[in-house]
Amino acid sequence: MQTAMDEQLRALAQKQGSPIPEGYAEKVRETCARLEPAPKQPRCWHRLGAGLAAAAALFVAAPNISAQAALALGNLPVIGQLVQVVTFRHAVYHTDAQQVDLRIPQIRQAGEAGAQINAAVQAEADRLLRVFESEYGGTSTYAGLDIGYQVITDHAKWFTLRVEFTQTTASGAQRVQYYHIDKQTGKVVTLSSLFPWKAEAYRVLTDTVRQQMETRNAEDPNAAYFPEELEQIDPEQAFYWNSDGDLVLVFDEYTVAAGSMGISEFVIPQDILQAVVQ
Amino acid sequence: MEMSQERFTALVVEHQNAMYRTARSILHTNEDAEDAVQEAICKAYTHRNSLRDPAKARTWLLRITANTCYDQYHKRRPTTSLSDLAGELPAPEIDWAEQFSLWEAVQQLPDEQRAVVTLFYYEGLSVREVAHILAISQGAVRTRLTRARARLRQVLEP
Repeated sequence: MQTAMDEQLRALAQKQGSPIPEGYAEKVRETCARLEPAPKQPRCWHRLGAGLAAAAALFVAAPNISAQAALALGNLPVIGQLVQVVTFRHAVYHTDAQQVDLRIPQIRQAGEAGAQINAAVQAEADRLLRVFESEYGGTSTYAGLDIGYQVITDHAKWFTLRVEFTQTTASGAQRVQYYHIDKQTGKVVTLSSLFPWKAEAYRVLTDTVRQQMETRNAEDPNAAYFPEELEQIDPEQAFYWNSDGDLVLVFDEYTVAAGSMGISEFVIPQDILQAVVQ
Repeated sequence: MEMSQERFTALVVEHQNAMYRTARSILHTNEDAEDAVQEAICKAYTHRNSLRDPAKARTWLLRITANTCYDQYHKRRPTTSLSDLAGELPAPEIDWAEQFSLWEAVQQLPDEQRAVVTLFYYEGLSVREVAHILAISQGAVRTRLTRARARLRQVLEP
């Protein structure tokens, strides 16, 4: 409830205003003008500190094996029980201000599905590295780029690879991609192709996640989820199966919660999942 | 449909002063606040498709701005969190013999109160919206406002 003092302070704030630095509006316009229409990671202008100096770059790339040879070794008609994942490329770049550490995975013995995932991961890693080198190469701006991976699941029927893309400038931004192979079909799987979903499936999943957000906000004063930001679960939403066999939906930083919450995960109870699968 | 660069720019320009005030209320220099706003613009653009309702653009942009500022703040003070500082460092006493504008008085408030006061009084946001932007509880917002009012009362009653 607004008090009389609140009204007085608001009126005074409106009347007196606040100082805006000269040139600020121009800087905002310049920043917006530099935003690139298409890519996920826009070019950003950063104020360069005094005393710029050319940094000596130490770049070491140690490819383990060529992509062609890796694919030849894995060209089997049936995906075996164990899929091999090797670090195809390990690139390290280090200066006083910048650090790049890339561990690019290569899936072997997973046929066309493996090749498809390898190509997607490689393309994304190459893009991020190009952007990083063009933005920060030769500058003293503090920045970092890390790519790493982890095999989450690898058993007789299923394979899941988690790849983490972490960019660090003044603040960090982490993104996670999950890549799945159904070994029985030999195909890459996304959420939309995971099951024959009922018509209302995405609405039910969305409501389930929202409810969990609201519960977490209520139970933890430090939680900062934004259930109203989640309009509907994306058919290509990131997911994985946890060790209990539950479906877990994964959201990148800033999409459904404050940045301080990091990457958000929500478990879909099995009874709910069964109810929305035909 | 993906938001166009032009539409995004228009939203940012509309709320640019609010973004600056928010950043300035968290960080301690004009230059840091400007840097943070530009970083926030880039982040917001990256995630522009998460803004489903254009009517919520202001709170959406201010939330990203606040998060960016706190990240910068923590980056520069890795061993101490903002919440740890709050309440530990004695806030300087305001010399009311000197006539302060409201904004000048707000800048002299303790760290934990400035952002809450700026969003509540300068941006006219509700307690709920302020809590949402700063990722704190509504109770914390009310407590900080109460403490800030005690200090700001003298601006109204010099």
